[in-house]
Formats: sequence, structure tokens, C-alpha cells
Amino acid sequence: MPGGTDMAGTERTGGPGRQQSGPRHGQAAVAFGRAVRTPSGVIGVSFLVVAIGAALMADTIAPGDPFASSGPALRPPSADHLMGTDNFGRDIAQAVLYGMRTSMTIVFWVVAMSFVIGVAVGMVSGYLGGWVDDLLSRLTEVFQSIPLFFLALLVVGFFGSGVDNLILLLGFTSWELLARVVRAETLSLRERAYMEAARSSGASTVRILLRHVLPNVAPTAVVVMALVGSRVILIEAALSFIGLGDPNQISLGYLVSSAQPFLRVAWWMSIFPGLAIVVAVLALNLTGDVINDALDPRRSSSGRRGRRRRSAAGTEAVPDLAASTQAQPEPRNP
Amino acid sequence: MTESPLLSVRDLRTTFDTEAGVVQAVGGVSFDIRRGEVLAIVGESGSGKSVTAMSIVGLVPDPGRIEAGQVLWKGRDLIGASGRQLRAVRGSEIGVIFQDPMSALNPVHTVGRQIAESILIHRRGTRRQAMERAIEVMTSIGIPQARRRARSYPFEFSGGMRQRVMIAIALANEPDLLIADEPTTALDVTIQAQVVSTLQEIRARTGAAVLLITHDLGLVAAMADQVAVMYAGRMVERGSAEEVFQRPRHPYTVGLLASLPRLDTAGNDRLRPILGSPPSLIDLPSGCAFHPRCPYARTPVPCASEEPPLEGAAAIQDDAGHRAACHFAPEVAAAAVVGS
Repeated sequence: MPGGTDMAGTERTGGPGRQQSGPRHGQAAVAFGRAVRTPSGVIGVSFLVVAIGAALMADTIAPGDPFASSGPALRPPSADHLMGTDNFGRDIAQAVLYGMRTSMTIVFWVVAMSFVIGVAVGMVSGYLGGWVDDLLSRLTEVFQSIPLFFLALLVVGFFGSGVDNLILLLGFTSWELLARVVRAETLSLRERAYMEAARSSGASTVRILLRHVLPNVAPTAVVVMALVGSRVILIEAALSFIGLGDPNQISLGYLVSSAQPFLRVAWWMSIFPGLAIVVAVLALNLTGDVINDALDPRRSSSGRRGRRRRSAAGTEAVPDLAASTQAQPEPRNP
Repeated sequence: MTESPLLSVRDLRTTFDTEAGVVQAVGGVSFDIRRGEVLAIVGESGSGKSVTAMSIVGLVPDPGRIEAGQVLWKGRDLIGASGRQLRAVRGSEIGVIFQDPMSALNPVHTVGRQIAESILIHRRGTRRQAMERAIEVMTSIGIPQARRRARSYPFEFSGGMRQRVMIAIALANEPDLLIADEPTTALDVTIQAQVVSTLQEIRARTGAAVLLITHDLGLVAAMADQVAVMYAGRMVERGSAEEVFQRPRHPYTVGLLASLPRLDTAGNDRLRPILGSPPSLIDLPSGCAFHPRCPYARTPVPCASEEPPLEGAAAIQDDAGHRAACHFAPEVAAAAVVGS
């Protein structure tokens, strides 16, 4: 790589002759590097790498049908079956990999959808103000007041339990936190002098939103989306635990649920899928925390303050963002 | 008949509806700017200078609105023009330079990109062409190593350099009018001098007219052809810079000049402040808004009862362009000459 390797975490590749990334990126990289080196940073980022790696490479690492039997039933972990086998002789390790793929696929699309909706609603609402803001804010509140888990139950009950249904459902209902946060940021950005300067140079509202507001809200939005992603994993796991997941896709929640009758005889059947859920959720939460740390100069420069504000509960990891929303009951694995 | 003015503002009234009442920030202001001319609007904070400027480009901040008047830009009224028409004028035919260069640049984009953006809004072309043009503009206003600096972010620039970037953004589309809203206020003195000379160069080179909004009379003396003095949302005196400085005819202008230190008076002269404080724009004094603070005022008639007009003001014999909205302009002029 011609650019040099000192810029941990930022891959800014420019054309030949381009200077090394400017100090701004350098500083961001330094802050990010410092945040990653904290214990939660190390855990979060490595878990994220594991989770995404498992999802991407499931069929490379463990080719074959995860529903098919691959050996004797109910065997404890061994060299052949790293996480043991279940009551049908299926390899748990393979099932966990495919389950992770299912979870991450859902997370990816849900996050993408709610990012688009949430950022658009938040920016338009905050920037335009007036009745548009009132309307969109009330709409956001309506979505916020829907008990997501029960809506999910209903939708799965009526429309069936395909992964695509689930993605659409969660995608259309997970943007409200982001919309509120983006709206709040936009409200303050709107008053900045450079917004006025942009207006005075004849920029249209759309251009101002895309060129001036979006880049400024994007980092915060990424942090919020990490939190939303971890919530999505839990909801998906919970739904498939109670048998409402996609029957054609191996899912972590389904694995935990099907292990229930064998808790006494085959601990490995429930432990490993359960751990996989923990890894995926922690990966997103802690990574969100790390990004937030890197973006907030107060937290990255004074460790004590940061530590006090870092709470143990995963979803509270971004207190300044969580402050703009009410605490939401987290659907738990029954 | 002389050439029609580039910009002609007629009886502009801009108000802000606040909880405390209706604030009349601009109360009937008229002026012309001809091509290549520098008009300075001076006045204290809250006198309506900036609101006047923002009204011209249709960017009055909430909850303000333009209540009446005309803003004739090249003969076309910009008040009531559609958003699209206004945007086509803003940044292209009229460039705006803001007061605080520290906050008027977006921190997340390189300066080159911000200049290029203002070009791309108004002209067809590729990003690369716009960037080349941006570098050209930066070079032309004295930013050294423009090609390299274009890739820097605003925080890597000093205040003076940022103000030059702001100027470059305003100039990128070769506007006919440059509105400079307190362009030097946020800068320290040495940098002010540089920015002033940059502005003068631009004016000489491009022939753009400049509307200079400031309370810095030194800047006015250095740059302006015409001066308009504002007080409490009204224009109280207007004339060529030389005339207004040499022979002020409005007591407020006289007071403004007397409150400044001068090099050419004896060192033991005390500065004379204008007594009292600016009036509330919600509840203006009757008649002439300046009369409660005015040493020449005769109350109640005519100063507290009748608002002296600027337009119809008794033409002053020696210079038809120099007018003051004061009932006693001739006396003031005579006294001021004697006084200084």
C-alpha cells in the first residue's frame, strides 16, 4: 500500500501523488486507534470481525446443508465436531455459522433500510421545521410507541415467517431512534453559519441536506445504527426461539430453542448458539461505543469521565444519544 | 438620464414577529448601487444593516419577513421572486461574504471542494473543472500554494486565510455585486489590513460592486465611494464617503465621528460618546428616532412629532447626492464644521 500504514483504521486511498490523508483524518484515526485499544474496543472490534467473518464465510468454512445430519447424534464437542452434534446428528458449529449468517443478513438489510428512512426523516424534519417537522415528529412518535416485538408476532402470524418479511418489518420500524437523533443534530446544524453561507451561494435545500447536513450527522448515525443492529439481532433470535423464524434458514434463536429438551444431556447444543448471540450483540454494541468514544473528544481525552459514563448495560452505551429517547424495554430471550 | 443602477432598493421594510412584539428591523430603506461602486452601510449593532443585506438576497432569518418594498436587481424585483429564481441570483450574480470565517465554512469538506461546490451550483462542468477554477480563484486572491491548500480542511487555515476562502467562494462565479457583511470584524488588525487590500484588488480587477456592511469607519474610509448611515432601522444620512466624513449633516453621524479617536486632532481632546442608548425597535420614539439622544433636538415640534424624510430632504445646495434625514441638517452641518 503506497499510502503508508500509520493511519490505523482509515483507508483513504487517493490517486497517485495525493498527499497522505490530511490531519483531520489523521486525528480521527488516532482517536479511533486509542478507542480501539481500550478493553471494550478490543473485544467489540474482534467480536465484530468474528461475527462478520462467520457470516461471510459460512459455506467456505463448513460447506454443505446445515440441516443435514453429519454424524452420530448428541455427541459432545470433539475434533470432528468442534461444538458437538445435536439430536439429529447435525453439526452445531456449522449450524452456528449459518445462523450467524442469517442474523447478520437481517441486521445488514434492516440497518440499511432504517438508515435511509431515519436519516431522511430526521434531516427533513429538523431542517425544514414548521408543519413538516410537526408531522414527521408525530409520525416518529407513533412508530416509537409501537411495541415492536408484538407487531413482529402479528406480521409473522399473518404474512408468514420469511426472512424478507422480517427484514421489511424491522426495517420499517427501527428508524425512529435514528430519526430523532438526526433531527436533533440537524436542528443545531441548521443554525451554523456555514449553512447560511451555503444558502447564500444559491444551494438548494436538497443540496444542503446532502452536502452539508448528511456528512455532519453521519458519524452519529453510525453509532445509533450499531445499537439498532444489536436490537435487531435480539428480536430475530427471540422470534425464532418461539418458532416464528424462517423455517428454511438456520437461526441462532431456533438453535437455542431446539436445544431446550436436551439441556441436561447436551449442554453444547444451547451454549454455543447462545454464545454466538452474545458475541453478535456485544460486537455491535461495543463497536458503537468505540466509534462514539472516537468521535467525542471529551471522552477520548479524559479517561475517568469516559469510564463513569460508560454504563454496563449494552444499549445504554451511548448515554448522550439515549437521552433523547425513552428507555425501551428490550425483548429478551424467554 | 444616467445608467440604471445595478441594485435599487426602494422603501424596504423588514420586521420580526417576536413574543415581545413586532420588531421593525428595517423601516423603509432606499438606496441604489451602480456598477462597480462601493456602498458602505454603517451603523451600530442592531441598526438593521445586516438585515438589509439579507433582505436583498431573500435570506431573512426566521421569524423575520419582508413586509414591503422593492429590491430591484438589474431592474427585476427580487421580492416575490421564486426560490429557484433567487437561488440563481445568489452566489452567482450576488456573492456574500460573512462576518465570521471561523464558522462559515463547513468543517467536513476541504476548502477547495467548498469553492468548487459554489461553482457547480451555477455552472455546468465536471468536478475537476470546478476544482481547477477554484484553485485559480484562490491563487487570484493571494492564497499561496493554492493547489495544495485546496485539499486542506478549514481548521487548518488561519482566520485571515479562512476569510480569503470565504471571499473566494463569493467570487467564484464572478458576481456583479459582492455583499460583505462585516468582513473584517472577526479578524485581528493586521489580518484586517490584508483582507481590505484583497477586497480592493478584487474590486479593481473584476469591477464588481460592493455592498459593505460594517461599523468600522476606518474600513469605510479605505474602501467606500458612497456611505449610508443607519440608525434604528432607518437610513439617516447618505452621500459620498468624502462628503459624509468631511461634512456630516446628521447629528448621529456627527456623534459617530466624534466618538472615534483621530490622528489629526490635538492629543488632549477627549472622545465624545453619543449619550443614551439605542432605542427599542419594538417601541421607537415618536418623530425622529434619534431625538431623545440628539443635542440639536427641539421637542416636541418638530423632532418628537414628525419623522424627517431622507428622500425629500431639503436638497443641500453644494451636493445633490448628499442628504440627511434631519430637520436641522444645515445647522448641524455648520456646527460640525466649526466643531471639528
